[in-house]
Amino acid sequence: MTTTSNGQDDQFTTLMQHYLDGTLAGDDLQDFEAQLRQNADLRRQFYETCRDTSLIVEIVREELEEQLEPVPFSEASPTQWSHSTPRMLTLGLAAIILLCLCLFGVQFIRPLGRLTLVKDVVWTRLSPAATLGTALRKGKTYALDRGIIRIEMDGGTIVTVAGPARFAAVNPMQLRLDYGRLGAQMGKATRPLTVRTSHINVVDIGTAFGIQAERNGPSTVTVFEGSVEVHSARQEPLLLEEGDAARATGSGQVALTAFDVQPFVDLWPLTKGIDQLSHLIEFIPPGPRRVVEEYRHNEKLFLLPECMNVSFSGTLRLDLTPETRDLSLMDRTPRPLQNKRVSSYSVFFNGQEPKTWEQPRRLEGQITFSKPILGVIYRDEHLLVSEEVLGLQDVQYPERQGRGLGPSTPKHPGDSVTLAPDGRTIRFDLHIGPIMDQFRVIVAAE
Amino acid sequence: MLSKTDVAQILIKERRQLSSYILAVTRDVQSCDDLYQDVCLKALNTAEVFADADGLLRWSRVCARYTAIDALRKRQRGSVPLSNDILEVLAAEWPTHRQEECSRRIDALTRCLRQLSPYNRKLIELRYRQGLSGVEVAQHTKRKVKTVYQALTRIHKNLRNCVLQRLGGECPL
Repeated sequence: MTTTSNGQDDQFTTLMQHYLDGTLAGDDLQDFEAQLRQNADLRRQFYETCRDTSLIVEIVREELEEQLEPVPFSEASPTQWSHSTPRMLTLGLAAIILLCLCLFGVQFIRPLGRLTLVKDVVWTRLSPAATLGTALRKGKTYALDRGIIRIEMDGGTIVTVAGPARFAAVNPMQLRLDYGRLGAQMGKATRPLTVRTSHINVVDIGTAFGIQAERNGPSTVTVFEGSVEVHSARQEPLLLEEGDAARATGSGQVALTAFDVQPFVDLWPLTKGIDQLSHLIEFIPPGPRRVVEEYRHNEKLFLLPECMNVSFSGTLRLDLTPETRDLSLMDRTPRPLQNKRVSSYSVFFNGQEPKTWEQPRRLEGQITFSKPILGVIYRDEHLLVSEEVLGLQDVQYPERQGRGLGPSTPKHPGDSVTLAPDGRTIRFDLHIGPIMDQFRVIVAAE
Repeated sequence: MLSKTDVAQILIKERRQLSSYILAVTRDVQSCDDLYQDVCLKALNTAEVFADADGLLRWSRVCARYTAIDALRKRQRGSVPLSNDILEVLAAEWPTHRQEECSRRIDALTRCLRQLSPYNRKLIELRYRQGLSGVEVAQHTKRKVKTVYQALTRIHKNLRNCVLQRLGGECPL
């Protein structure tokens, strides 16, 4: 067995540090390899350094987790997962997870969430560069200089984050937002999401909210649907409902502020499951009571996300499905859809007054959803029925009939909707008259 | 023959050893846990039957090596710098959980970390908690890169000696 002197030992150790830093190359790398190849003691030393490095990372990460309780909560705080688990309990939990994996399959080794969209993102130097499909792991901090990502949390909540931003997944039901803009659309009702900023914890009771946290500055939470609880160090939890907004400062004070959708305009389509929109479609963000008739434009359509991730009983009639996508409007027989978990989107045109058009206007475009399209409803009678099942209760829908799309006639060029082969994109070619035209897209929720 | 439960139990016990081997290949502390889980999933889903723990450990080291190499290539860092023959030798010699008791070592290491000077502790935080490279640590602390590497080398050496002392020289080496 070859032994080493102290000088050689220090030289090898320095080479090793460079290697573990990824900066060893050329002759130095060859020298390092040669020493490893020839000397079992040095190979042992290399192992010990790798082992100790892993242990140091584990120890400092756990210390970081223990430091993630900057805001003392009142006794009335909601039950939260404890993230400051002792080391042996962490190992025990890992053991339980793997044993469950053996018994019940791979679904039990689950990430805290997964990236389902990465749009124009530039990650900071210090951040892991996550790509589409990347799993979020506990304890990792991500930071983006710009762009937007969408995360599907393990609990089903959809979260979008717009850069510049820095965040981490603490557990499947909790995110830490150091700074940036975040939109959240709650998934399955039994697993509410908590978002922590430097000043407040926001607990989502249901269903959609946005947070804007400034770097070394205040945090603002805006509730679009449902309600949230805002917890801070200095006061009792504050319940915010749809249409409310609150601002928290470093002093721990939380005060109501003006409701403003503007900071989240770019986030909401993605949060609501829409990956891409033609420019002539205007997205209606979530918010307090809306009247469909009030949305009017002569050159644009409107897209209104309706019920998200809901189960319905009974039967819906779909006028267009992936199976009938190659048929014309006239040839399609409605297909039933029963007992599914779905999300619904209403797309409509409503011209501005005065409506004195002589010729129909042609509007073409497409929408790409994040999940597969189950079908499209465009016949009058089916639109009305589906509105009762999947429409939003706080939205006032038009009462008149005759909103649906129609095939071509001698006097009218007709409308066309088709589903792209990707299963998630709908293309439309509409010849719009002065009355409202509408179709509804039903998308799979899972 | 090992059951799936046996496989899981053995891999759990070998978590730190496998993760540190993966670190030796990728040199990326952020991804070791992920890649370890990938190896576990492959071990539990493989059609291969493991006769005993040694067979499983040999298989898992090979799997860890290739999983780590794949990850390295996907990150476009170029080819794996350590030659395959060295990685194979390291895998064969890498101690197992049975040969080394980690829990006492962790407790000792935790205490030794607390004894570091504030400056050395800061270097550890920057390097291993924030994941900065040596160059980035040097920029952050406004020191020369060579100085930072030398400091990290000294820190590792001192930590190793401190742990040995605490364990009363009992840690099998």
